[in-house]
Amino acid sequence: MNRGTLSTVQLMVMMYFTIVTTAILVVPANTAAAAGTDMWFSPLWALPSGLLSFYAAYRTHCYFPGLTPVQYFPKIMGKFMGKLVGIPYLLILFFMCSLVAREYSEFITGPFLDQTPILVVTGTVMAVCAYAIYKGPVVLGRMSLLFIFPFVGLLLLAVILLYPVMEPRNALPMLEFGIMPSIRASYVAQGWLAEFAFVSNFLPMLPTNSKPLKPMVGSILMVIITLIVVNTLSLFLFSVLNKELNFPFLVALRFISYANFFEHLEAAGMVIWVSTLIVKLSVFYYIVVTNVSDWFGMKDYRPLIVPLGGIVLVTSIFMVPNQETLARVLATAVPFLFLVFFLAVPTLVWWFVALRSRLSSKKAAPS
Amino acid sequence: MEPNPQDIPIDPKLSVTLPKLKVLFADSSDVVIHPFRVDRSLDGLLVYVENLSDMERLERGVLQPLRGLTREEVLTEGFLEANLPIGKVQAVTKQKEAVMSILSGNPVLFVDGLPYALTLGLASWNQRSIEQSSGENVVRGSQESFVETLATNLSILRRRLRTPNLKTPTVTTGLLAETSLAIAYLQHTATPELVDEVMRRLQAIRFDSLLESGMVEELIQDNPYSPFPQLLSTERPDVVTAHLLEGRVAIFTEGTPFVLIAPGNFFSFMQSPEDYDNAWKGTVSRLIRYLFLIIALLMPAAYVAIVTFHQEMIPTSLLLTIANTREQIPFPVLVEALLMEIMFEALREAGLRLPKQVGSAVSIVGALVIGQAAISAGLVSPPMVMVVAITGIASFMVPHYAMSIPLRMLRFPIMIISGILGLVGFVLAFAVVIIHMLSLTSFGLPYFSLQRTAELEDTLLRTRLNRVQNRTFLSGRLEKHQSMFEKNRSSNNAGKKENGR
Repeated sequence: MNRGTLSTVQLMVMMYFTIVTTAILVVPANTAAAAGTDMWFSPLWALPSGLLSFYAAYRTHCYFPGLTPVQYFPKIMGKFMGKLVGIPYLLILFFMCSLVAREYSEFITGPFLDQTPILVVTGTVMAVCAYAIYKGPVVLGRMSLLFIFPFVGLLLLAVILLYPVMEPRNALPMLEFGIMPSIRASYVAQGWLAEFAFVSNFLPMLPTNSKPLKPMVGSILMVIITLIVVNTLSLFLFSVLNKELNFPFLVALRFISYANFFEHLEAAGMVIWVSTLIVKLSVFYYIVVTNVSDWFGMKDYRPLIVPLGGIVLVTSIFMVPNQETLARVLATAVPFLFLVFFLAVPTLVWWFVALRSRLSSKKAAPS
Repeated sequence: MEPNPQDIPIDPKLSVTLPKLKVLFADSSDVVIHPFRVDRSLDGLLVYVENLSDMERLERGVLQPLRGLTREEVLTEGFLEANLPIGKVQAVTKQKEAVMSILSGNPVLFVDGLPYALTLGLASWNQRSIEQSSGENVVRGSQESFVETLATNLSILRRRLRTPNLKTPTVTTGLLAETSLAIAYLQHTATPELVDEVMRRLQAIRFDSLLESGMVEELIQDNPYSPFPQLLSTERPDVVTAHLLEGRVAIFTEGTPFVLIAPGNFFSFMQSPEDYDNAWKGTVSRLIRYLFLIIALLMPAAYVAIVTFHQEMIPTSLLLTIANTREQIPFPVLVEALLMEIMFEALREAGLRLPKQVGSAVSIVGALVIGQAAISAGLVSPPMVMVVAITGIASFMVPHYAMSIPLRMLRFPIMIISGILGLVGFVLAFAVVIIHMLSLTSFGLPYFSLQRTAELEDTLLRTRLNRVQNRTFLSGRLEKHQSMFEKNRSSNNAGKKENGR
């Protein structure tokens, strides 16, 4: 079934949102815990894993144009094995989608709607996302292009307005314990950048003659730069306190006070953040729904939106008991899962496919 | 229903035709069936609708000359067409054609022994003169607007676009009473696919009778359930001209001054013809319009959300003022806002429907109801009145009335959700509206489409005219055409000095 077409710019911005929306919540606090004063450049170490996961997805896609991973797995390993390998992918996608929904609800119920039941908080945003993916992924692309302006504007505004209260000396001493702590601290960021492998679900939607390589590398660099900006901002403002804060960037917005008018921008920040989260959650939701429908070989994914959304909603509520557990899971297990499923396995698949095609072409050449 | 004579040919014998016509037009007091005799032996019949034809020219151009003709002359094929002193004479052979011609004002001449009838192009009726447009006003620029007559409207358009490329094919539709529609487009500018699609949709209409272009719009738009308008409707010839030059297609409907333009695009609803008459300064008014578009949709909702849930966002002194005024109010902010907004909508509706003579009464009462009286009665707080007033003004700033309807409509659900979930609900509700708008298409074209980045110069902004010009909205065809034209011109003018821009 034709799911519409995306432009490379739309895909670039959409993937940027897919990574960065929750990364700016999770990364600063986790990086601070391990890297201390070196946290500001630590996301840089995640660049290779971002590039590799994208490149592996891209190259594998070149061998199977027009197909998504769940569709080309059976072509690589045979029908039964392909479907079998697809199952853990479907499960981890469910898990990740629920995780995003849970991160959203924790973010909202914590500082904003502390009386509202979590079911309502998650349910409303899932309903909006269901509507978005019912309208098709093309709408997601257009939406991300529209929301990039307020999001970047918010970041720039925060940097400019917080400039007077920043304390660059917080970054000293630099490299106190050598380079290792900053590399170790980039663990979480590595996991998040491995999500760039999701691009393989959208590459089939690009026009046939498009060149996604440069824009996507640009997107990865944009993510790294955003993370460095947010980390630097948090470091200059809160120094070592960062690891105690759940959402340093949100607290930073609270610091803004100008002319008795620009005060307490965290609610405005939340509005913009929620709009970008709708993009991110919709992307995950869409990937879940389309992967399941592709796995079963369904023609249209739309009948699955509501039932699968229900599963995601319930999972997101029961997956972890409280925010502390969520934070621990996010800092320990989740990046590992991401690195295995979206960096290691796709890279192996790419090598396997490349090797096989080279062998078969050698075999074909003499005959 | 009368059995309409469909493809039956006209009988040469008048003794057959006359009773048929008499049955068909029985009890139609405005249809005149006038028998006469030529050369004292040949019977003839003139059928027309009173006051729909030029009576004077009918007498001078048909009845008088017929007296001087002989029987043989009249019965010679082609003689009458050539010799009647009338500009437009057409022979018709089908009964239905003759009847349609009578009903559209052209008298029909039957002669005993002729196997066809002659329609005489003498249609002329009393019509409204071309007046100033009432819905879309400009300070500077053309003041004329379309009228209810299709032919007059096409002539107004033709006067502005003197090019053989302007094509105006007609479509007739309506099951019970026929309505003439005409589409207008510029050949080589509008894509043939678009023109075909418009024609196809118009021909597919099955409806008793089309009374207004709004009905046509509803029947041919892509998403009939969307609150947002997908076709531009305007009564200004200059707007139609500008859109035709951009490669769109206009649809004229008999009986209404409102012309539809397809495809509609969000940004075209926010353009006022005046933007183009004030050089780049049009950008300023355009940006203000976009700002107030957002205010018209979201301001009450934002106020409700912030005052109910996020008081810390309000500067302290203002918060104290608001708290002070709200002390007396018995309702929550949401109820207060709904009360006032509904009241305002009621006033607006009443103001529209009332006869002009009592109109001022409404404005006096309205000012009292949503003004001082409501505050002193302790029903609403002064800040709320401000919010409602600003929202009201903002919704009047949208240049095309059709675009302000969804704003007014969607304001209420967004307000209610914001009252329940605070700013989270606010952004979720707004996101639904955005998602809906992003998924809209008009004739297959996305609602927010910018065909190229250069198009940005005439959407949010309005840059210098020579940059905006010739940016064909739908295709590169015009540009190709234009460059060919320019090439020819420059080769003709080789050696001559050209004033390039």
